[in-house]
Amino acid sequence: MRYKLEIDTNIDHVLNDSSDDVVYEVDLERRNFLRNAALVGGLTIAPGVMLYQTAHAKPDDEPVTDKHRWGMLIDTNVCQEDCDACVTACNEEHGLWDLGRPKTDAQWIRKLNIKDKLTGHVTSLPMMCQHCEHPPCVDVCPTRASFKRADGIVLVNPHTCIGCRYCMMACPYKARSFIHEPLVDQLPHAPRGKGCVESCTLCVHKVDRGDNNTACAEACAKDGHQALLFGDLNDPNSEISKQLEKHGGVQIRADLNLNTGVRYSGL
Amino acid sequence: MRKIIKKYLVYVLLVITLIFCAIGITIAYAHNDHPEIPPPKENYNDETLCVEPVEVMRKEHFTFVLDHRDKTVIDGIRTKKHSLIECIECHITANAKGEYARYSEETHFCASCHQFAAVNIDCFQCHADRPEEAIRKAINPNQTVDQSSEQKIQHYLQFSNAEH
Amino acid sequence: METTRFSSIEAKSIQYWILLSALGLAALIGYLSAHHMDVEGHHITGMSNQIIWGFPHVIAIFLIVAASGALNVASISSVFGKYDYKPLARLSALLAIALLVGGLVILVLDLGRPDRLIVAMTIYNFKSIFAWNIFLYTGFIIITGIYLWMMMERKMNKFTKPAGFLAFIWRLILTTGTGSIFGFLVARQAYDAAIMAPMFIIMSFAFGLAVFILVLQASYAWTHRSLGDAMLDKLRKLLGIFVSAILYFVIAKHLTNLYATEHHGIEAFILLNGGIYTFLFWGVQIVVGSLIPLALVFIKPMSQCRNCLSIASVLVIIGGLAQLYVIIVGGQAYPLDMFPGYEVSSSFFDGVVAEYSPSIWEILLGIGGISIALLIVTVSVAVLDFLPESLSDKALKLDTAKAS
Repeated sequence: MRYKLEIDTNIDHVLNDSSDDVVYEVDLERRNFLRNAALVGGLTIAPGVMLYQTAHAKPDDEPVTDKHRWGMLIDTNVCQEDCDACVTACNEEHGLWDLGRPKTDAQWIRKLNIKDKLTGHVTSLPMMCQHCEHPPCVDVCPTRASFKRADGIVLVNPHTCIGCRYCMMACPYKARSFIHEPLVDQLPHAPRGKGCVESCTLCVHKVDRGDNNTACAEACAKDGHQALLFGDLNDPNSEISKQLEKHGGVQIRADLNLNTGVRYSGL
Repeated sequence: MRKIIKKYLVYVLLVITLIFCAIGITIAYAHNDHPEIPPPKENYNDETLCVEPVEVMRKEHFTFVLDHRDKTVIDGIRTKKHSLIECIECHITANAKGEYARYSEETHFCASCHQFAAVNIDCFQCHADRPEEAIRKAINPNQTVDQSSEQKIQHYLQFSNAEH
Repeated sequence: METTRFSSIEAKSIQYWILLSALGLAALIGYLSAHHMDVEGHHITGMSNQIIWGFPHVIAIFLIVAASGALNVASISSVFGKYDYKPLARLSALLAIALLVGGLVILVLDLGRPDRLIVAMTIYNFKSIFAWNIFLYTGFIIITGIYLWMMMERKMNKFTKPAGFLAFIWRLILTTGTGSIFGFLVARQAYDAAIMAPMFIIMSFAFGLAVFILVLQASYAWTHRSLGDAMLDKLRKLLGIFVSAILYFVIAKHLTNLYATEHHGIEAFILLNGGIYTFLFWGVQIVVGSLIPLALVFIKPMSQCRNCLSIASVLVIIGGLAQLYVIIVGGQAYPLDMFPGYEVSSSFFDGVVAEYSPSIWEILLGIGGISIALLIVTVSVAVLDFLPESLSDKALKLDTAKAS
């Protein structure tokens, strides 16, 4: 039970974005309060509390299936040019360090500002792995390290990645980063190390534990923008499917016909 | 000259090999005194103590972890029994001073045996070698006091280099 | 049928050992710098998340492309029945294997996880050109090895033709595979063109022959064996034809791209305003690597001097390296066009030309790979009978007469 609480309670750390840098800050008092609260809850109505919390999660011992296809809808009308809460949250969530080497530092999600050459209209949007249905990175990977999970999440299996970087050459979205240096102090749920390629995992660890959301979307919502909507594209009743049906959502580089899992509206 | 070298080359190589063996054995014995390792948090159950019988774990732990790793990465199976995170969570505990050993130190549960048996693994090049609590503490030792990013990078690079 | 006498070179001279030690030292330094890159991580190189493949890949792909081209001389004799080239066939096959090994060593040592090479050898994704290439490269070494055996073992001579034929087909597929590494990259404006594969084949003809000519001239000059003008004249003409063919493909590729508005950005970048890449294209690839060699090869009196042929070969190699640099590095330096019609900016160098300058470690690794290739040749010719004792005009005429 202790493990369950520690791992299922994702509010252990609090984001502090007082500066541009990623700051890890563990508010001990808040943390303890939350843990105690969770314990009390767990003790009084366990296991009902846990069951409620993980209602959307598949059982831990079952493999993921194509019943779900996880995706994201990004509303560029709402996305703010000067806001990078999603980026900060992602870095925080996965322990992506800014080592002061912009050319080689990893960026799983980044903010793009695009300006229409004709009209001068500027749009701001986050760009990350688009979790294609037919991912070019998976096609070119010689060792099947780049792969697509049954539920549509495109991942790198770092155990078989040899660091050839062919997937980075193939990705139309520049969504992948190569780890250019030895790392230490990685977070338990986000293992990463020198010599492998990595990219947005669509917060697979959160998806698997039933959070039904990603760190970036949570951060965007917390800042009151709600430009990022995570959900199940296969479920016609999910919010993302309803929004897509109502307002539509385009793919970036739709000409490549990759059927991306990340869609944009307002472009 | 060449003939002489050819004639004695085998013997010379043999002697060199023997010397290296002797040095190796001596070093191994010199390191025989096991470092004191903090005990695991608790027993998994009273019967097997660990997730499998202890004798089995000593010999086979890596097969469990390797098997589980593919299931987790590829199929998204997240059971805790053979999960590396859980191994670390339970086995890597703080010493009397409240410090957690890194894999590069011989008081680390995994390293204590691997160093003795000269087993070279690359798990901890990517995976956390300490429980999340210890990692977060290491990332920000002062917890509530904000460190400048420069300091953090220095701290980071210091350990990053120490790994080698 | 065979009157050409082959013999190993006598490896007794001090110069030979100096050459061997120098190559060995360069190979060792190359390995050490690769090891340094492995320990520190790739951030010490010029490569980045923008320029993903850099200098080591330019050298490695040059060696791999030249490897398949070096086999051409052997193919001409075994497959196309031009027996004049037969005395050169052994060296041609040896050079092919050596260059390929040198190139592969660079590619492997540049991997992020070279320690996981075994993974690449055991797990395959057959949709990946890289996975095919692992088979094509190892297969090439094995088939060319068998081909060499058929040529060098008297009892096996009768199988030379089928073995040579197989090696020839294999090398065409191999270079197609190498060209397709880039040809199949659908996302990038600079690549994604079917013409890449045939262009790489023609490039391999020229680069391989240029390397072959230099190795042949050097080994005959340094061992004081005679090398007649007749043989060099044949190679000279071939080199001229191959260099012209590259020019044709380069023109065809750029004209095709210039027609489509979609590709105007990348074409302007390479041809007009790409800075170093424009200079490398016009100055080095076209003028130094194509036009000057063509003049040296075809225009009298340059075409009658031996040193001019050596210089032409060196220039073709330099031009070839420049061409691959423009294709590989230049193609990545030009930003991905994710939003046609938009100006893009970000903290990840979107929409800007990526900067790249190779680090000393990458250069040393590249030189190390070249040294390994030359080391294999240098040792092999001293151990086995690869080189004809004489390639003088007189000896060759005798050969030709007997064979026909």
